[in-house]
Amino acid sequence: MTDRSSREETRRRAAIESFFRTRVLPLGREAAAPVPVPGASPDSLYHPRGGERPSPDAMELGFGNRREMARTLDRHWRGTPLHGLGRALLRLARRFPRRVERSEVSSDVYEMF
Amino acid sequence: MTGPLYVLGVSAFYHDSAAALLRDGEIVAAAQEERFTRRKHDPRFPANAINACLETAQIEAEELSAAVFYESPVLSLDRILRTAAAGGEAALPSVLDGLPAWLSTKLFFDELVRTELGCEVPVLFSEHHVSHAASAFYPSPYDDAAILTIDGVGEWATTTLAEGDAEGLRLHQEIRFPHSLGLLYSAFTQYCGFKVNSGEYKLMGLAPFGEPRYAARIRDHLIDLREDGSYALDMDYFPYELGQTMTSPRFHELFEGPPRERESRIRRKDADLAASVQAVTEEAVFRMARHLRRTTGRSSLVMAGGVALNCVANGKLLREGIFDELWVQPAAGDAGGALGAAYVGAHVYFDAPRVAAAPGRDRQRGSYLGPAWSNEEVRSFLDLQDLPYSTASDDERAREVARALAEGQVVGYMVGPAEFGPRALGARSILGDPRNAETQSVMNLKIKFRESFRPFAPSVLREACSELFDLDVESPYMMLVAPVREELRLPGAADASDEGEDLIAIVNEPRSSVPAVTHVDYSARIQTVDGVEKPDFHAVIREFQTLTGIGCVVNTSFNVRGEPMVLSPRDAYQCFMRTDMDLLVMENFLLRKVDQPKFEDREDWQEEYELD
Repeated sequence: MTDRSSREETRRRAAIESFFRTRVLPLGREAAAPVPVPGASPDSLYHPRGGERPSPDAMELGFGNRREMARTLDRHWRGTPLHGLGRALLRLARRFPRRVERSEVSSDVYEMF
Repeated sequence: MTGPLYVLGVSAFYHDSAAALLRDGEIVAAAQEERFTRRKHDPRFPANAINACLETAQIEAEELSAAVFYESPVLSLDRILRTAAAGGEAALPSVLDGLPAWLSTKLFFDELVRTELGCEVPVLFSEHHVSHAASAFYPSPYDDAAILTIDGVGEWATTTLAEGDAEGLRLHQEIRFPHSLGLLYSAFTQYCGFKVNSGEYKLMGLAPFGEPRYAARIRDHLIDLREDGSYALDMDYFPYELGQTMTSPRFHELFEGPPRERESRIRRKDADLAASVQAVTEEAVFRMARHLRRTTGRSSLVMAGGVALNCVANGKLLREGIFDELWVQPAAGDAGGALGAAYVGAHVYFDAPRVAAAPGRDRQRGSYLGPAWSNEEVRSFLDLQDLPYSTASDDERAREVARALAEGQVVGYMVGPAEFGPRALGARSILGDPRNAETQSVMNLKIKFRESFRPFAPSVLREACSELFDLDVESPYMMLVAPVREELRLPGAADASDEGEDLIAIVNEPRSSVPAVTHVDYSARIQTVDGVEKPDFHAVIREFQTLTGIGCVVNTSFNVRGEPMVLSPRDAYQCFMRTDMDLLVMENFLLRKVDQPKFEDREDWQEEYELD
């Protein structure tokens, strides 16, 4: 790792730590509490899903770009202590270069075609 | 829409990334990235697997109706951030460790797919356990079924109870993180010195060497298991929420010692722990199954998720008779999530009708869904490398392989499309003689270079199965364990639990007339082979039966320890030359070890593969 990339790495770690301390940590245990389950049996530890069917609409997340992602996340978190974290998270993501760890492909792989 | 409906499913970024392609709701191809990259459990974006699927279908990416990711990043982030908030300051290391991958890659799957495919394909997302449920139900032979998915963790769900019928899937109940039967099993896997996410299979194989002496302790302290199969773990024993380790000092205190060092000698205690967590897992699965039967009224059960790879539990579940029928997705782990995601895309999003199954058959096509090499391609490879070989017709090949096996030789067998899922099913297999008591230790130590206690599986003619094993249903995917028939067992074989610390002595003791595939508890992990999905392999076993009277062979995956199963002729030849195999079959080409030129290799080649 070069000095420059090492410095960038350090800055990114600092940014995550700051995000954690300022945005996540204050949420505390309250944020983790599972949503209360109406009608759950005292003898059962299952969370009911009520016979729900997977919805086609729910499959379209709206995750095509940063703005959409922030909006989608905050819509999901509306009315919860996490509301607003979507925008903050995507702001934080700007500091991170998009990385696709590419796998090496042997030329053998394409012999089959 | 005028053309066929092509839906691509993708799993990635955790372990076992994979791609699967459906055409009008029917599987065209499915492949795991590790087979191409030669990196076991490769979690990277499955560019090779996607290409393989598109090439098999002979379509361009532009022809895809959608690409479906196998889980929801929204729900995963929800769990990760809420868990971190609750963890307080102690969560910082796991946040520093885990969040960069999200911020640089995982959040951007949508964009990544479009960039990699070079087109504006619609990108959809399915819930992790819905993907598993779909992978279990849609390719199964049943019109309707109860569905049980159990794994480490998806987004929040770790266990899901559902059902499927002509109207689609319905989700009924779930258990949520951090409570996880899969992670309970993984915690013991790590404590017993095996690697999480791959060593669970070893723990299951170790269990019959032990006694469930600790099962009561697990029930009393670690898991609150209710009558309906629902459960909660006591998280004081499991610090994995914060990502650093699976078991806490309190766990170590409860089981009287620190975790076993990896690769150190396996102790009686490890075997007893394995037996104990296996017993508790089975109990939990049985209770869930009974609850599902009661609440859904369905007579068939389908399963997926990593825990569904526990073929010992599956076999017992079948014998318990809670459901009339059981079908388990052969790629039950995350790789199969790609297939499930594609099904969710086809049936939930596009409302495609479910393809009818042939009577008595499933829709998984034997799980021979991966890439294949033609004879021309194999010949090109061999000629280019100037390697000596002979050719054989299909019938001659079957006879030649059977003869070699009957003479005690070990055969590398690469014929047809590769398997999708972790089990070798006769397309990328190493075969041996089940009658030979030494086959197990020789194949483990000289060919697979792995722990000698690990059992091998029999591939048995469907029509001969009940002559050898107490199993009267098909098990084409090696997902069921059943006992060797009583009359084939050898008298006087010692009870494994009485043999003190020496597991090797127990392994080497013959226990039946097919000792190489008989585990210490007289069980066997069975693949039934029929002439419909895999006629070439069926012919080999049938010829072996003609020669020996035994309609089964030893079948283990074509690889060495830590290596993904071979895929290409080059992989197969390399593995053949690095090990003590005698004969290599690649399509209609036969290569004998004695004829091969000296193989130039690095002395430290085994270090290429991280031990699993």
